Amino acid sequence: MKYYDLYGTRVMSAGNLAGAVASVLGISFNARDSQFVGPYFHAASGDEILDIELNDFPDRDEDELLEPDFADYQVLLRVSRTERADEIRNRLGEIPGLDHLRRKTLE
Amino acid sequence: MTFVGLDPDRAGALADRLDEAARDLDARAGSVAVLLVQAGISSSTAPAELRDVAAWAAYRSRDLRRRIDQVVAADHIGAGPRAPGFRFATGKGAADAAHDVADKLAEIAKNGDKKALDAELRAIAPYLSDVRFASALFKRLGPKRMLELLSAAQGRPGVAVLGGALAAAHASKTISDKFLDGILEAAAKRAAAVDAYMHPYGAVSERDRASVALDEYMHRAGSPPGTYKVLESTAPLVPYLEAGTRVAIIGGAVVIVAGAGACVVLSEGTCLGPAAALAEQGAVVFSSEDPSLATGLFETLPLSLEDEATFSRFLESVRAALPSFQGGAIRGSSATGVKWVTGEPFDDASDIDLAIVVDQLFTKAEELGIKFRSGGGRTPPLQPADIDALGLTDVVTELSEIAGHPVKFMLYRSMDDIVARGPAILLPKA
Repeated sequence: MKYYDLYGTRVMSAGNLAGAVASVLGISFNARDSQFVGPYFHAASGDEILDIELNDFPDRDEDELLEPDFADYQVLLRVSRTERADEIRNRLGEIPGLDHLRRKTLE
Repeated sequence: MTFVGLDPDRAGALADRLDEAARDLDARAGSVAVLLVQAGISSSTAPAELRDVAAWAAYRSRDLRRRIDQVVAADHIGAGPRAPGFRFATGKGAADAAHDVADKLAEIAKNGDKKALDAELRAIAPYLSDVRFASALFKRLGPKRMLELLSAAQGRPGVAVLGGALAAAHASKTISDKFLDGILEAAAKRAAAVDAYMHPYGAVSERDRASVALDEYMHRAGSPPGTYKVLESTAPLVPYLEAGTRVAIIGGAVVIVAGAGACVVLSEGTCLGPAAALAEQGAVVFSSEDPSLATGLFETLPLSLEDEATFSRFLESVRAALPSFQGGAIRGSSATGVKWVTGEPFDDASDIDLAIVVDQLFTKAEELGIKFRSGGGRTPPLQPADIDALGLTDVVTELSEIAGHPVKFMLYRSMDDIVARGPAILLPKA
């Protein structure tokens, strides 16, 4: 079972969130750029992928929110293809202002 | 070719040297006179002759400065500091010379004699610094023949010579926005004519239009001579273009931005057809032989896939993984050469943005509850959960490995929806 969790913060910048997540999970992020997504931070460990994106980025090619259902969250964290979603969620709970927003699962 | 005029800066430097020579000759005449007196020689005319030569040099200097003043005074074009370079003695002289040169250039461009064109552009390059000459030349040619000239010079150093003069003439307001619009309009008409030639039986379906562009893209040898690029969106150029600038040299290429672009696509001079909805802005790009701008904007293959074998592998992987692949495009900095937001060049941190049309996937995305955007024309950028749910995991991994960069996916309803979004390098279906 693979889990895909979406987190969001209303109070942290993407850079600050990358630093905080890197600290609690012991990983490192790389800054990347996509015209579809805009500037974002990316980390991978095995199958697990973590991406920190700007929900509302006016200069993105497509002028829209990445997650319109969570419009009041400026910065998003996606934890994808993980099999230890709850463990990660517990650790990320140490980061003030970071909320768990959604979970999807795939067999 | 003999033109009456001078370069004020160089002529001023010559006058300075004449003044210096006059002073030196005067001083040496005095020294010689003293030596002659000391030697008891009183009959020598050497000091007087030296002073005559000094007087002549001083006269030539004054005469030269007067001519410089006349030339500069006659050159009323533009405000601010005077541009360096050659100036014609009179405006009429500049216009007469420009008319002769325009007719000659037009004839050479028409005959397609590249060597003669190179030679003529090299010969007139110094004189184009006089904006009166340059603007008279462009006006004599008119937008249509100007396009023909730029097209003929495409891929050669002369295109930058013309572009620089065109930019200067536009900046000095001797060439109007209307003239630039005319060039773009002529470019669009020519591109449309190519399209019509390839589709003599009337309107072309979306898919057919796409395939025409893709064929053109895959077989560049079929492009008409002197091709140029027509871009339907100037967004990637914005970082390079100052506010209000509509013609510029970017890297080694001439970019003309116009307000009445009417051509949608964009592959080596091929136009997919007019699209009123996209007619707000356009640009035409004439590249020189050695553009220093990142190649994505001016070359056919995407950055990171610019080697044909790699690109073919990439394309074959897409087709193999998606048997009902109907076409696609690479967008973003891999296609344009520059990042959308910052204008920085494509680099190691850049992703490959891949837009594809596959009806089955589009339907499946809808069934998965992925919310469509742009009036139902596309998905948002696919997230890992979407990629996995759509069964695209392996192809994304494979394509990322081939490209050496992560590949981001977006599903589109049609090729029209893709090209409507901006500059793209099209991927043909099998």
